[in-house]
Amino acid sequence: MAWRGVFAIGVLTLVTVWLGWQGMLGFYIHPRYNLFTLVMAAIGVSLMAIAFFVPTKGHSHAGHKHAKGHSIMEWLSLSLVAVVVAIALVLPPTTLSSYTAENRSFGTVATSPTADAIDVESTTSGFENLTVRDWASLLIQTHDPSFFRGKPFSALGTITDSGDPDVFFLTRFVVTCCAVDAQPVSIPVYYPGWSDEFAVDSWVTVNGGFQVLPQIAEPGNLAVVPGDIVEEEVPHEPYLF
Amino acid sequence: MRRLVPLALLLALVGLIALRSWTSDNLAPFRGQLQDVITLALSLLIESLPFIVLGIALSIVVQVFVPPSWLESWLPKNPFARRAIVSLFGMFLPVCECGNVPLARGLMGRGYGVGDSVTFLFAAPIVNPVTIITTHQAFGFDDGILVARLVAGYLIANLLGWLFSLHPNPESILTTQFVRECALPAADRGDTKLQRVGSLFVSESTALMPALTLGAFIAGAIQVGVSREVLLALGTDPIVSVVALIILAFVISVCANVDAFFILPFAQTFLPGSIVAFLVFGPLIDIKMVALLRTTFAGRSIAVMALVVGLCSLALGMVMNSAG
Repeated sequence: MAWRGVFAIGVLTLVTVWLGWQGMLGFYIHPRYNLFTLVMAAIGVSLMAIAFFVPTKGHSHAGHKHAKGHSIMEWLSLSLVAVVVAIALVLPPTTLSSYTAENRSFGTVATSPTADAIDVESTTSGFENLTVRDWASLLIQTHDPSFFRGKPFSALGTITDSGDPDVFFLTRFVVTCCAVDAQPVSIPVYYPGWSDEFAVDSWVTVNGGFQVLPQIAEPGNLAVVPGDIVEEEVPHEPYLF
Repeated sequence: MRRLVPLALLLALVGLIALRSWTSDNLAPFRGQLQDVITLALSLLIESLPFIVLGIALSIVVQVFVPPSWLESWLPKNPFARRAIVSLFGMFLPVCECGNVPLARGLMGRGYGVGDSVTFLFAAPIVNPVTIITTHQAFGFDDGILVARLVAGYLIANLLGWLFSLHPNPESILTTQFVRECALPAADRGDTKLQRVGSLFVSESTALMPALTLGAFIAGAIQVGVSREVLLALGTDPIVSVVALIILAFVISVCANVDAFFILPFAQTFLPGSIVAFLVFGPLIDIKMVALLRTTFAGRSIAVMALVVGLCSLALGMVMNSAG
């Protein structure tokens, strides 16, 4: 029982290192923390090795009851650790879903939490490389159709339900630290009957361009009209940073 | 028999890695609310893990390798001056709030007073170079948000430290389990320093990890279950918006080092006082922190901490909103 914390740290460390090795730590944390996380995981492993291999005085850890008389709380916390260990070891790593995207789309001014938001004045080329976040930033700044006319749109994201059978949102999460602070950014895509062809939460690249469509309710009536939509695998860095 | 332990551990490690790889390739991910709860909880755990390990490592260093009188020898004897200095320890320990809990436990285990340790614990997440830099990056000096956050965090930590130092029976502020651990003679943890390192690592990780795990899952579940639309509809009222962002800070349990970036997109919806209340309250009291504090402090003590921090944050936010 006294080792349940070490066990929890051990499994979390194992899962963290495995995610790093598989290039999937980006499902959970910002890549700038990868090195720090892996270094601290190594220190954790070293401390675990000391705890395991250096014999202590009869394992007499402070205040821990031995052999008999474990409290209900100890069993509960052991069960909790076991459940988390099972979840971490068994369930496939996944990103946040469209449910959270919809829940978190209220109240924010969208786009960029940092100062490097793309600027409508200075952006004159390279439109084919812009992300959903960049386009969302431009859409916040201007609804002038002439700015968007003829600009190539090609961006990766997940499909989120807009509530309109003719329009879906192409969505990415922007993360500053970890998935806990993820904020969704979205671009409306006009594609009648989209739900017959694509599942919500599937990853796609949309290629096309903006058009003014009076029938849609988005600001400026602007939406992307796709030339083609390509289904994609989940990227190793599913969030924008 | 003992020689078989490394082999058994190695086999267990290989088995766990094989299990992790197989399920990742062969089980289909499921989508929806439950999956988001798990993703958010794992995200909090993976984000917190290095800070918890760092906090435990620093706590072990303080308890095993720093001479008993060294820390006390250069601190002022006057309690107010001592706490004023202790609350600046965070400047040299850029650890997020999760890591400060084991370090504060280590300080108390080393004989620091409860008041002094509480002061460190509540000042460090805010008076911390990483937090200062990120808050400045997000807000600059606009609306006095950065200055208000720093001054308020420092003062609230000292207020809490002073309040707890007045208690006639400081041990009753703590859990009986932790008091027992503090009372344990160093020799009981082992004859050598390495033995004491191992023993402390086992006891600290066992005290903290179940609490962190529980806090992470509760935070994940509440984040998914509570609609942001409801909370954020209250953004423009000078009083209600402060309460709304204090509740949001409690629920989301985001790390103090980056919470300024999290709240920045809300800055045009909410008044500056509400933003400051979020930035002051969140690092000190949130779901994850309450679970971690419970490893060390009695429930009543945590209620007092939450009340004091909450009232101070509320007052600060309301005054700033009224003045602005």
